[in-house]
Amino acid sequence: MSNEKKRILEMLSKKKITIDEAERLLTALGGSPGAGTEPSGKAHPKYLRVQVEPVGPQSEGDRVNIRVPMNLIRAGLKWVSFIPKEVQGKMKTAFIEKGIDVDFNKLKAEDLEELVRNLNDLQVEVDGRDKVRIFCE
Amino acid sequence: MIPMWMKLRFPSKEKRPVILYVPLFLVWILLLVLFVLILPIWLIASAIACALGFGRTGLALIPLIVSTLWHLKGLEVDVGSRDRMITMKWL
Repeated sequence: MSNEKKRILEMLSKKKITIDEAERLLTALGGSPGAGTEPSGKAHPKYLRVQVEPVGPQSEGDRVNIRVPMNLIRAGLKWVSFIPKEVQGKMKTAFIEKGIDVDFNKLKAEDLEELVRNLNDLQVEVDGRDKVRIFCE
Repeated sequence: MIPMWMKLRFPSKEKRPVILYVPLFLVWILLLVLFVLILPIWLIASAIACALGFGRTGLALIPLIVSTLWHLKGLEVDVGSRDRMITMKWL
C-alpha cells in the first residue's frame, strides 16, 4: 500500500475527511480500499471537451465540438498575470454581476485541477434550443 | 510537443470536403529566426525594464508564448451544421 493511500485511510479513521472524500481521493490515486485497483479515467484527464448540439432530431442549428488539451489550459492560466489590474477589476465586477465571485489574482493551476476532478459530465440545456455538454477525457 | 501540422477540413460545392494540411513547422522556423533577430533588443529592453521595476513581465513573456504554442498539439475545433462542418486540428 502506498504512503498516500495510508495517509488517506488514517485521515478517514480519524474522521478528518468523510467517506465520499476518501473514496474520491483514492480513486484519483488509482485504487479503493474495498475492491481491487481500478484505474480511474478521471485520474489524469488529458482533454476538456465542450460540445454544443441543437436539441431535437430535425434541428438544423450549428454544432460545436471543441477539444482542448489540459496542458494548454494550464499554460493559458499563466496569462492571467499579464492582464492589467484595471482590466482585472472590471472583469471581476462583470463576473460578480452575473453571480460569479472570482479573483483572478488567486487563480492557480491547483484550482483548475480541483475543478476538473469534480467535473463529471455537465449537461446544460440553453433556452430549449441547444444542449451544452462539458466533460473531461 | 509542439504541433507540426494543422489539418483544415471545410465543405466544398462538390460532395467531398476539402482537406488541407498546413505545415506549421515552417511557421515555427520563421518565428525562431525572428526571435533570434530580436533577442538582443529584447534582452536590452528587459534589462531596462528590470531597472525600472517591471522587468519580470518582459522576461516571462517569451517562455509563456513558447509554453502556449508547445501545448497546442491536440487542440480540435469543429463548428458547423451537420452537412457543413468546418474542422481545425493541431497535429
